Amino acid sequence: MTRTSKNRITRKIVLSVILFASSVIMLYPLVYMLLGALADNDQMYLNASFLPKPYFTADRIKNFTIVFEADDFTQSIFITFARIGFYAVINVLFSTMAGYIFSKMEFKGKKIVFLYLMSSMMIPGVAVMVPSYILLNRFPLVGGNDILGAGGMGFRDNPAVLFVTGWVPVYNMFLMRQSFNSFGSEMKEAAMVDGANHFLIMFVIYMPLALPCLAVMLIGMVIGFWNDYMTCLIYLPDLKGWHTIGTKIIDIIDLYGAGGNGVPYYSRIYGISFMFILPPIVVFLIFQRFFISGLAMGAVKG
Amino acid sequence: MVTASKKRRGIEAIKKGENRFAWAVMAPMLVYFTVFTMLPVIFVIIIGFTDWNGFYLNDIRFIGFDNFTRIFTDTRYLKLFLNTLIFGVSILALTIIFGFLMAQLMVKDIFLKGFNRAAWYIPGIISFAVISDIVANMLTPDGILNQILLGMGLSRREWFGEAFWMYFFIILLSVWRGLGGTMLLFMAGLNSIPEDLYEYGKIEGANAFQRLWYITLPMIKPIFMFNLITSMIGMFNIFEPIQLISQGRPEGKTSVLMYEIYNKAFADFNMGMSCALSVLVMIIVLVLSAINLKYSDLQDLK
Repeated sequence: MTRTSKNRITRKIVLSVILFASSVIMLYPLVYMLLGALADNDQMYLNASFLPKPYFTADRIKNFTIVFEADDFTQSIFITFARIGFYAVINVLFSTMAGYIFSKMEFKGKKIVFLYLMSSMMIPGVAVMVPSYILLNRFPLVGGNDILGAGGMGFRDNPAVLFVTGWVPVYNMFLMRQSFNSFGSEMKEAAMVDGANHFLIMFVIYMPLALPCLAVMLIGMVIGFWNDYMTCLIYLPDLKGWHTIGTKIIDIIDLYGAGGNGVPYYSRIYGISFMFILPPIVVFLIFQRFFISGLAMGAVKG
Repeated sequence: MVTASKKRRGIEAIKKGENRFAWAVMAPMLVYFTVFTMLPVIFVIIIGFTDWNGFYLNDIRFIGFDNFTRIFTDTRYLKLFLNTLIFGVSILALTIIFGFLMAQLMVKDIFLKGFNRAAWYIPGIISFAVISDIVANMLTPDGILNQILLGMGLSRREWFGEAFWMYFFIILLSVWRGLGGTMLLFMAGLNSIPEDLYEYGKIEGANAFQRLWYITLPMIKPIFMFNLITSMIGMFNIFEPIQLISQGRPEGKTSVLMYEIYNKAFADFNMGMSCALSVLVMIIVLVLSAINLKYSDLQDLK
């Protein structure tokens, strides 16, 4: 008895140590980044090693805070937040409505409409990147285009492009429908007898039940928009002032990270990058529980 | 009798109201969805048969299958498929194998479970663009990696000049980012297997390998397929590290499909060729998605 439990504890400790070591390896690049940002740049470069020596002095902080001095930084953060807020509202509203309608209402052609929407999940983003650009570039009556879409630039280099696409979040609609499917229709019927209208039922009665699902959606969305690199790269090539932070940060790194003699200013690169990757990590750590259940939601039935 | 018919009329009225309400909400969404999501799919196919430069509508000239014949006869284009495959298969094999092995260990009773899970997942939520930019800065001829090598008494390398090292770093980064997500999905699958099955297995005298082969693998087959196919679709999405680290160097040996689709459209202004490549990617992904649909949770749609 004591011997087997002793064995079990030994095994648990050994396994824990191995897995802890693996986690340290996974986090090593971030540790390196943080140490490098706190190191003296010249010293780190001349005595280069895999573990730079950090100095916890006040001037090291500059490597992190220099990002705030970049041109357009505040504006970039503001646009990013505006975009996140806008799409958060759109996602919550539209995926709740569509999810509720598909789960709890009957209408003619429901099956076909549902299949039509869901079929788009099979279309790879890569394959429609260029035609989507052409569509927005040639969009009629926008940005100097005529009714046929000729003559102007459409949504190219037009900040509105950050807000016009993706209003029908098909995958999120699907997740919300799945979520609503697990709640019965009794509440809906009772509310209808009491004379509640459909909006009241879906947003006041059913939506709060699907909060975990909404949380998963929103966390993924926030991190996605924060990191989004492609949109501004493709649609706003000549309008750098409007770039969201995911694209802007590369310019900032390249600007402050350019040292003399072709040697990059590493401690600045690491410091700026660390500031940029911190918000998604904090969001993740706070909402970890939702995040992990959400990951499984896509693949496991439930 | 009277009340029954009244009730039926009431139900019919509700049904009629539901039908009208559902369509009033869905119709605008469907119009928007058709324009912004489905129209590009039609565009990409049409433009794939032209040599359009993307500027003037009356420049659109249909050239039949010329783009496609060029792709299939020019080794430069065929190499794109090969390169994408090399990246894709290496990343896929490494993430699936290590993800599965780590998940096996992570589901065991260990200390610091939450910490390990977070540590493995965090790389996946960091902007790939920023990580790529940092690595690109580290690999320059006078960069810090060469500095470390010199410090260790080794000679410096031309990282950008050697295809092997370009592949090595890009694959390493992709695997580092992707492992956590894959592992968490496997963990969700492993956790859903009832413990009794293993007990029965032990009673029946199955050894550890047999339990893995006859219990674990069949039970997590749906998640395995989901992981496999989503990673396969994901392999067409490799862009940021190519754009920011290798840029196809050396001599286009590390150029991949998405990078070429982007470059053909936005650097060479050859929308026709770019769309032709996109069409091929779409066909491949549709086939993979069809397989996915068969094995994953999405079969609910049927």
